[in-house]
Parts: sequence; structure tokens; C-alpha cells
Amino acid sequence: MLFNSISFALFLPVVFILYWFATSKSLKAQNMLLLGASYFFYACWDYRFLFLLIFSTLLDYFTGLKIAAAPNKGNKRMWLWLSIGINLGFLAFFKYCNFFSASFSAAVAQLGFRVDPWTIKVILPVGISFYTFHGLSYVIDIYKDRIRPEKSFIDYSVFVSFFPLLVAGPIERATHLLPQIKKKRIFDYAKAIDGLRQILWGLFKKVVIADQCSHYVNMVFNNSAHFSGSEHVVGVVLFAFQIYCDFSGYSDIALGVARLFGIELLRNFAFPYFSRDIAEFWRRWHISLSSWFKDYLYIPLGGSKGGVWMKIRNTFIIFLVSGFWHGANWTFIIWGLLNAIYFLPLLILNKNRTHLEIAAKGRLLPSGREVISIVLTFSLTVFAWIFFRAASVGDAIRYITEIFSTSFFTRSGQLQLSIPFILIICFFLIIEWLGREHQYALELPEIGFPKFIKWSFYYALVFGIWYFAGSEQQFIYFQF
Amino acid sequence: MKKFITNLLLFLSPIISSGILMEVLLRRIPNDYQYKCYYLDRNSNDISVLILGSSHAYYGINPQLMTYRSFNAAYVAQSLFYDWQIIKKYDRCWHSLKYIVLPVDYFSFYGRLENGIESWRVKNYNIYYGIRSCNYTDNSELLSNKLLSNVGRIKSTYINHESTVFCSEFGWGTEYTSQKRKDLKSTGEVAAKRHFLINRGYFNENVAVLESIIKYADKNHVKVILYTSPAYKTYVQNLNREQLGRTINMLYAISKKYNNVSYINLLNDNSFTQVDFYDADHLDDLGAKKLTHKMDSLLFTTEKLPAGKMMCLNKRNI
Repeated sequence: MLFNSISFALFLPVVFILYWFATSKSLKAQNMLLLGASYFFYACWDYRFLFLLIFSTLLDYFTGLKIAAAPNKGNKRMWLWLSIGINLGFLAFFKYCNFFSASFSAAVAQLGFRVDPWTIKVILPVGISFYTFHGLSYVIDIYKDRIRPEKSFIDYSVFVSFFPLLVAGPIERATHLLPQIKKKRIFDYAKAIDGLRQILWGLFKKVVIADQCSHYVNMVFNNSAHFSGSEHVVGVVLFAFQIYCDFSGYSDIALGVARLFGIELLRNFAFPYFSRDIAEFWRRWHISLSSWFKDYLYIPLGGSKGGVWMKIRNTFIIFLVSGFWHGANWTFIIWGLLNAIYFLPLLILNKNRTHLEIAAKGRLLPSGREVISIVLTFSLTVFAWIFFRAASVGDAIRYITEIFSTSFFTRSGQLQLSIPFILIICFFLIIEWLGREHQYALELPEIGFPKFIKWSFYYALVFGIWYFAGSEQQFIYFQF
Repeated sequence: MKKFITNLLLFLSPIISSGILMEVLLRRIPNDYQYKCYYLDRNSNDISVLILGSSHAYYGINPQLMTYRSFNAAYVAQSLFYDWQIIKKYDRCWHSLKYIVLPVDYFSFYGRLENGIESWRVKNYNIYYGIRSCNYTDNSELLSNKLLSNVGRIKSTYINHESTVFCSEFGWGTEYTSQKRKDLKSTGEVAAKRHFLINRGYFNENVAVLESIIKYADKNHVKVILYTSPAYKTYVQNLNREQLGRTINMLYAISKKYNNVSYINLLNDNSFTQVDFYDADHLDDLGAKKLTHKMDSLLFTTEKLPAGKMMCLNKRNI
């Protein structure tokens, strides 16, 4: 059940009505409803993997209790590693098994031996990377005494499986979400309207921008040889828009849906393409994952306490793991590595925390210097996206070679961007820029506009979604 | 909450009402599916030759030129599954049926209508034929097509008053005329690429559907004429040999296995020349005339054969 599907458009109002009308008097009933709806939502993908989700939930729930009840540090550690081992074991089996096997076989072949890779036909359970990280953060937080274990299995299960975030995040923390699940929710009109608005903007980004970009992106990346260097640049720039609108669109819908149920999820995107350096970009892109890695990997590794070299080492580790988290392919690892390399000058010069506020804060337009830094950061990011999108490292290298060839100054004529499409991209960028100081771009029309103008604007967005809606397209991050 | 629901309904009401209005307008537009179903509802008990299959048969066989009373129930992208569903829908109505003519082509065993780029057509079988689909969006015209296409259909029907039924009285597709011929080279390459191994996993499933049709026909003393449609060389040359070979071999095997089945492979039939093709894998009106005559004479040939003596009608020419 995709967020951009008719089935979800039917599912959501049913759950909403049951939640606020049938079960509103009892918090327990509301949570049970949320859990049932979440399991139903997940079973619509593949009911077989529902058992894996339930097993993972049970595992972390019980290990959480065991860690808290353990008499000594050694016992606590044993339970912690049991949970980490099993969670990562499942992730490794479903996500990385074939990758490790093929890489081993290729490495051995370099030494002159022939070993056929042992591959298994396994489907990746949707959302496994996300709910595994939910569970891990929970048990680690209990081990570190940051939280007490959750006694109610229902409440804990809702924390892991809450349907808006189940398949592609944001990756929540028990410290943030569990207290909301345990507290009685009261319907808030302003929040609910805000939620709807965020859903609308998310859908617009997904259906109108991301899905339209994907048409051109697939054309260029899948038939690279037929396009010139300059068209390759256009292809990857459009991919930058596609992945941003696809994933941040998903996150907007998730946050908006959660808000309808009186729950605030962690913000996942903060206008990353307006960043002035790569450090700022990573503070604004997939925030819930970046902060997860920071809290559960970077800081335990020593963070920046051990000087510049320690900081560089840990940053490289974080980016390599982050690349690997995205998928079992060398392209993601190189993508992570490239981002780590971009970080190097900032780390050496200790300038990785220069831009903590959004660009041109309090002003309508950026300064010339800001424009240059934004364009430069965007270009670096776009270059790294080539590896993220390409099917293999070889394909990525061929793609880059084509960009830097003489064909850059030619046009094959096969990539024809329509004028309305370009205008829509410009419209999107303007709205994002104007709304950059808010939680999401569309918070803007709330400020002082008459209802008539606001509604006309919303109708225009609905019309755009309706106009471009066709076959439902999956969100890119579902594959991770 | 009351304010929220009121405002939400207020906001949604123009969207929902325009959606309902469009759905009503779209359903009132006459179309080929509706016409064919209407014809079969009234005449299935009088039909002697039932032509099924995809666009290759829809544009390729003109029932008006056949000796027996025939009807072309084929349509663009119609898969074996829907051929079988149409037969089943009129079970007990085929009182005069003697022959089922069915093209089985390069792609026939490798695809499903529901999963291809033509999946939007499933709603037509659901809405107009009453063949139930498990996807609920197939109950709606509006939800199965893009807004632009829906608006275009409404405009051409209600404003421009254009005809929206493109088949003849007996179900033959009349749009592909020799005057409108397309470039045979480029269409051959594109079509061959499009038809390549849509999904190997569907092969057994589609063979089973074909066998269901044959068994049903046998039970009702109906003969089945299977054929592989003629195509222009630019299409044939670009076909994958393995996929084609597997299809043709299976058809020969089926024609051997069942006594009520004849199979003829017309893929490389030299009697079809450039002028007979609308594009590289579809016949135009001239080609359709030729194929129809061929099929008509074939029916008489098979009719003369005693029961249990059906056959493969030509040598393998893969």
C-alpha cells in the first residue's frame, strides 16, 4: 500500500475515523487500533514478512526488559549483543548475503581461484533497515540508561511499527516517540490542518516532481550511450530532484499522517539543496539517519574528542556504513566515500559547523557568496548521486567519462524537457526557497493569506497531482 | 473535530463531485469493448467462428469476408486469459460455434495484461464485459487512466462529437488502413523489443490457459485453429530466437497433443508483402483481406478432415 495509492486514500480515513471516534476514550484502544492498522498496512506489502517484524519487535522488547533487569554490566552487555547480533544478522541475511558472497567470489578470482558465488533468491522485506534501527536504538538507549524499558508490549510495538514511518522512516527514537504513544492524544485542529497540508505538499513532490523526473532520469541512465555529455548532466541533476522529492515527499506524507493522529515525528529534511557546504547538507538531508549514526556510531567511536585525525577517521567510518546501509552494492559505498572526501577540507580546517542556520535567514535573496557556495555544494552532491543511481561502478564511470568528453558541447536531441515541466521545477524551487525557514515549504501560505487564495493554491496543487497521477510509482527508499 | 470534518468535506466536495461527473461521462462514451460485449450478449448463439486474440487478430481478420457467420472478439493487448474469460462468460450460449480462431504470437505466452504497459485496459473487461478484476481501481474509468487522457476522451465525444467505436459491425478493427501505413523498419525494431520476454514465469500459466480453451472447445465439439500471425521481416529479424522457438515448439506440441487443434505458422509467410502491413507486426486492410481468405479456406480444409485428424498445417519455419 503506497502513500500515493487509492488504497491508502481509503485506508487513512477509515483509521482516522476509528481513532478519533470509536477509540478516542481509551488510550489503550487507540494504541491497539494503531498497531492493528500498522500490521494491516505492512501485510499489504507481504504478509509473510509480518512475522519477521513481529519477531524483531518481540526480540527487542524482551531484551530491553532483560537488560534493565540484569544484575551486572556483563549480563547487560550479553543481552545487548544478543539483540544487536540477531537484528544485524537478519539485516545481513536479507540485504547483504548475495553481496558478500559475490564479493568474496570476485576477490578469490583475483588470486586465481574460481569459487562460484553462493546466491540465494531472497526478497528484501520492506522497511527492514528502518525498523531494525528503531529496535537497535531502543536497546542501546536502555543499555546506556537513557530510558527505562517499556512495560507495555502494545505501546512498544506501536513505537516500532507505527504505519507512517514503518517502511521508510523517519528513524525514530524511543526517547522521542514512546512518551507520545503513552500520553493521551487530544485532537488539535491546527495540527490536523497542518498535517493535511504537509501531506498535500509531499504528494505534490512525489507525483508531480519525482515521478516526472524519473521518466527522464531512467531514459538517460538506462540508455546512456544515446545521450551527449550535457544531457548526462541534465539527467543526474534531474535525479537529484527526483531523489529529494521522492524521499522528502515520503517523509512529508509520513509526518503529516502522524500529525493527523496527534503524533509528531522527527523531521527528516530541512531544505538540503540550499546548503552552503557539505557538512550543512548532511545536517539537512535524511536527518533521522544522520543523527542515528552520530549518536550510535560516531560518538561511541570517540566522535571528535580525539582531535582532527580521530574526527576524520570516524567521519569516514560513518559515511562508509551509511553507504552500505543504503544497499549491497559498491556504488553506494563509493557514494559514501565521496561524501566523506568532500568533508575532509571542512574537518581539517575545523569549519564543519560554520553554517548552522538556513541560507539567507531573514532575507528574501541570498548574497552572491551564498549563491556560489550553494551551487558548489549542489554540484558536489550531484556528482556523488551518479554513483548512487548507477547500476554498477562501471556504469557510473562510463557516465562520468561521457560528461567530461567532447560530447558535452553537443546535443543528441533525444532528451526533450517540456516547457511546462521546467516551469513546474522552477515553481517548486521558488516555493521551497520561500518556505525554507519553516518546517516544510508549505507552512508559508498560512501567514496572512486570505482563505480564498490559500484554497486556490491548494486546488492548484491537487489539480497538478491529479493531472500527473498515473501508475503508482514506488518510493525509492522502499528498496533500502 | 466538527470544524475539521466540515472544512475538509467543503474542500473535497468540488474534487469529489468533478470526479463523479467525469466517471459518469466517461462510462457513457461508447467503446469497442462495450460494443463487442453487446454484440455477443445478443448473438453468441448464432456465431459459428469466434476470433479471439490480440491486435494481430483484431486488425487481421475481417469476419465479414468469411463464409461462416463469424465475430471478431479479439482486441488490442487481449491476453489468452481474457480470451478464456470471454469464452467462459458465454458458456452455454455457443450453440452454433464450430471454430475458435486464435493467434498465438511471439509474446502470447510471456505476458499478462495486468502487468504490462497496457494494464489500464483491464478495467474495460471489468466494467464492460463484467469479467471481475481483483484490483478495485479497475472498477473506475477515472482511476484507470491519466486525467489528460480522460479529458481528451470527454472532449472528443461530447464537444467534437467524434466516433469512439473503431470496430466494424462484426468486431474487426478498421483503423489500420494502407493509407496510414507507418515506417516498417522502425516499428519492427520497437515492437520486437517491446515483445521480448515480458516475463518467463508466465509461460506455463499461459500454456495452461490455452489448454483450458482447447479442452473446453473439445468438450463442446469445437475445433481450434491456432496460428502465428504474419509479420514483416523487420519485426521477425529482431525477434529473440529462443523465445520464438519455445513458443512455436509448444504450439506444435499442443497441436499434436489435442485432436481438435490445428496450427499454422504464418510468421514468415511470403504471400504477405510490404503493402499488406500497417506496421511491422500488424496487417492493414489489404493484408487483413488476405489473411481472412486464408483462414476461411483453412476452415474448409479442416472441416473435411475426419474427427481426430487435425494437424499442423505447415512445416516449421522458425
